[in-house]
Amino acid sequence: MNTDNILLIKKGDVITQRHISDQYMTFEPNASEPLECFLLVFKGDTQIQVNLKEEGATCLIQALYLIDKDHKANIDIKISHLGRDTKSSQIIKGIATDQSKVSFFGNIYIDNNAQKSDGYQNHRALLLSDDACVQAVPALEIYADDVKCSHGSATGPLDENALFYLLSRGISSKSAKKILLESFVSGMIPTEYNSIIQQWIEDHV
Amino acid sequence: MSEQKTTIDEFVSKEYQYGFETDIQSEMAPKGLSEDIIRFISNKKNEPDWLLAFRLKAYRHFITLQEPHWGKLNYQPIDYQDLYYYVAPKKKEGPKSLDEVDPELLKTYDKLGIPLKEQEALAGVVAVDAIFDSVSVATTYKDHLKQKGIIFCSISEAVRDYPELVQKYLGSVVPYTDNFFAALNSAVFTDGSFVYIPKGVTCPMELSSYFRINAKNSGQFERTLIIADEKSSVSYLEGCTAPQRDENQLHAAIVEIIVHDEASVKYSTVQNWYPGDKEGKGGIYNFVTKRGICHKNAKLSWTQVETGSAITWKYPSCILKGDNSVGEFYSVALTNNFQQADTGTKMIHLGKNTSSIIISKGISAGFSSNAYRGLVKISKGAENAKNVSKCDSLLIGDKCSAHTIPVLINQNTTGVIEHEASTGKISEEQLFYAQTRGLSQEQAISMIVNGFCKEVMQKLPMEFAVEATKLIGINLEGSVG
Amino acid sequence: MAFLEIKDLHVEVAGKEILKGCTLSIEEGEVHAIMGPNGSGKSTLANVIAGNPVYKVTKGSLLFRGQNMLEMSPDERARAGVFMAFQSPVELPGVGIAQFLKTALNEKLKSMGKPELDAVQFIKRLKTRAQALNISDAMLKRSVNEGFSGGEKKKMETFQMAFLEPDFCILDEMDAGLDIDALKTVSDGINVMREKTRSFLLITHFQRLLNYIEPDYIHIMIDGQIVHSGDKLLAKSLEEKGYDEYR
Repeated sequence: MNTDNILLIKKGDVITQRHISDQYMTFEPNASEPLECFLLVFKGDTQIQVNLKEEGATCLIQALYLIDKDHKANIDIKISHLGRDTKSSQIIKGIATDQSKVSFFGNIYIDNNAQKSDGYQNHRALLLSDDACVQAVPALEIYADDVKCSHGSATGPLDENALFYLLSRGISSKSAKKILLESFVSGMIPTEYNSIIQQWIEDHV
Repeated sequence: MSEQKTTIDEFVSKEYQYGFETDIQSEMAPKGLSEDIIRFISNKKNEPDWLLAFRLKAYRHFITLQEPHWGKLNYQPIDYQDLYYYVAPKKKEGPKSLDEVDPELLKTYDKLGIPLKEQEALAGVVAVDAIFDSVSVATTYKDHLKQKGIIFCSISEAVRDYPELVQKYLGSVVPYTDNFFAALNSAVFTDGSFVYIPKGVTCPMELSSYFRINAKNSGQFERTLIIADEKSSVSYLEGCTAPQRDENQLHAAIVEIIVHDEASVKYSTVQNWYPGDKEGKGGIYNFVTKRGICHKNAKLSWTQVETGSAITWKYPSCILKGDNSVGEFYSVALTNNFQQADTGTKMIHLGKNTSSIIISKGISAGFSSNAYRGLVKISKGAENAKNVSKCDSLLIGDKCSAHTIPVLINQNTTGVIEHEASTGKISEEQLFYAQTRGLSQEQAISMIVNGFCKEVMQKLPMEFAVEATKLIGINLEGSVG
Repeated sequence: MAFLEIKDLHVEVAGKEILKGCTLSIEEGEVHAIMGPNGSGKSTLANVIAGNPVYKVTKGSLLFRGQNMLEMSPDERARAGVFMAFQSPVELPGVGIAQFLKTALNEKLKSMGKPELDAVQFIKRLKTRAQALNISDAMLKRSVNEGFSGGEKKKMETFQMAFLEPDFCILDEMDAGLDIDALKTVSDGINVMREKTRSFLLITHFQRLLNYIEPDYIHIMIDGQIVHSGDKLLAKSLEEKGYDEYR
């Protein structure tokens, strides 16, 4: 299985796909071409910077990280709201297992000129082993007042109540974990990567 | 929002109400920092050798360090050689009663509303350890507390009367190697509060401390050490005021708290140091290291309302070492005009089933900058540790800024960290609604801001909550859009 | 001199003109209703009278008891006796209802040169009025509108109005989203307040509300202007024929 990180970029109607590793990328979407990115990370350093300069520009960044063995992953996403009425949304989910170490830094910066902007970020991570570590720094740097900005970050294990419920219906522990992990990542993955992710989950339950 | 802006512009500013100087001859060490000054301080206080050694070790470490600049703070470089490190009012060898205390000093305390006069009734009474500049002057209720075995006195007295206790715990939670300001404080601290609650004792009253900085350029380096022995509990209040000044004044304090098995400590602060004038000139620089260590089933709760200081750098923290220990942090930080705050908390989970809660409310107005910086760390051995944090920021006007920088580290698969933060302003809708009920814009803002802070205010001891609510109102006035 | 006098009022919001020359006169003790299709500007008119800064008056006049309201801030208008019951009142988290109303009431008393109420007097008055409107102690302990259902919000608006005793009450779509029982309760609360020195302006979409609160006059608003006025029978006609006849 190719475990290079994958980046899918959708600008307006155009989709580009890249296999990337240790990359630093900058985007500056126009209001007429909202930016949508999907990032799949298995290891290494990834930095994404999005500058929302034009009034009305928007972006949606989704990232999924699946880190195992003794891999290290640094995911750095910075959204700078520089123009008025710009909107951003970051949805990051991850699973860390074995002896992996993940560091997620997600910054929303809102400039004094970016009034009426909206920044949202949500990060959720599952730790599947005692030797794995996830460090998350969701940061907000706000210099304008007429804005809406929020973020949330949650890290923890698989929900025990949900596991128990599945087991009480006769489902094996391994299958139950698989079901829960798949539901955790669902809704985020473009269909072409479904099999890669399912395989990864299968290998780690 | 132009209509609102004009009305905000018209706010009347309220003079910092504690601005005054006491005209007492102060005995001061010469300016500057050196081993000689430290020996002078130690000698003046008749300190034992071990304490002098502690100071010198800290000083020698201090001079190898650089001032930290990772905070979101901009200030003029501090010339550490241009300060007085020891100021004491002229007096004989300790007053035996209040009659012997300099009347000017007593007048000062009256102005500050400190009840130094002893009262017969114990119910609802607060013991006060009043510190005037660098030396403790009077302590009330020492005797009443002594009956329960509770020690509440100045650090200087504790060094003299309970040296084993001080030696055992001083620097055990905040070693002088911890950070730049901790090293400085450990070298030159002059006085502070010492509290010891014996096993199984619940302190019957809230203990409290007041501070003032008086002489020009004198730094305030106070040191507090609170030890709650097994199964004991105490509530401690810290409230500060300071006189108006032209030059910036440095405040680098250390508070260490040791909470033994099954004990609980509640530490509440209402901080109202002079914040600087409307142009951002003057004001106190408040660099404080506050930390507590919790043993098994212990609980430490930090509650603070910070409205003063030109610069605030402070992260009251909990080391949750013992299993089942609990750490809490409730904070309201208000900045206005040109104030800057980089403050937050650290919750370090080491033991199993430890839990922590963080509720931080930041309010920025004027041209100020208000940053929440937090660290939540669930270490490998911290099975079933849980942290919940909620950090909200409110911006008043479009010239200020608010930042949230939480570092969340989870190293245990059963550990759970849940963090939420939001930033916004008082909506015009809310302001308009309140106004249609006849509230002026100023009242509406004040009411909404207090509503925003309610969750934290409810954790403060009653009298503090009243003072805190007033402080917020006072400090919000003059918030220019 | 009319109680409330609106003359040729032009109002715009976000650069778009919504009221295009609105004229209306209300005397003391009268109950007027404004009806009209969605987007006709009814709520805009209500908000402009209350002084919502989002709306800009570009032309015309608005006088209350001869005073120029356009020069008064929303709170000045409120203290002068104007009250707006909102369609979807905003939440004020952490702001207790009692504290909110005490401040509002005392501000009004102060502006009238009357003595303010102390805590004891206030609580007594609050509880008495609350009982009359069937508002529980539990509800009084909550924060203003926080977590309230639609019905609870309308009830709270009515309560505030009863408590603050304004002279001119604007009710913006009070009937929206209410079932028959809730509508009856709210209407009763309003009817009990009708008197010679108090006027009401009801903004409504549906004729149903006017069965419970009988208006003295009904105005039809189309496209930012009042195009037709009549008495309470006009409501029946609208129900049968709709607004098309008046466009």
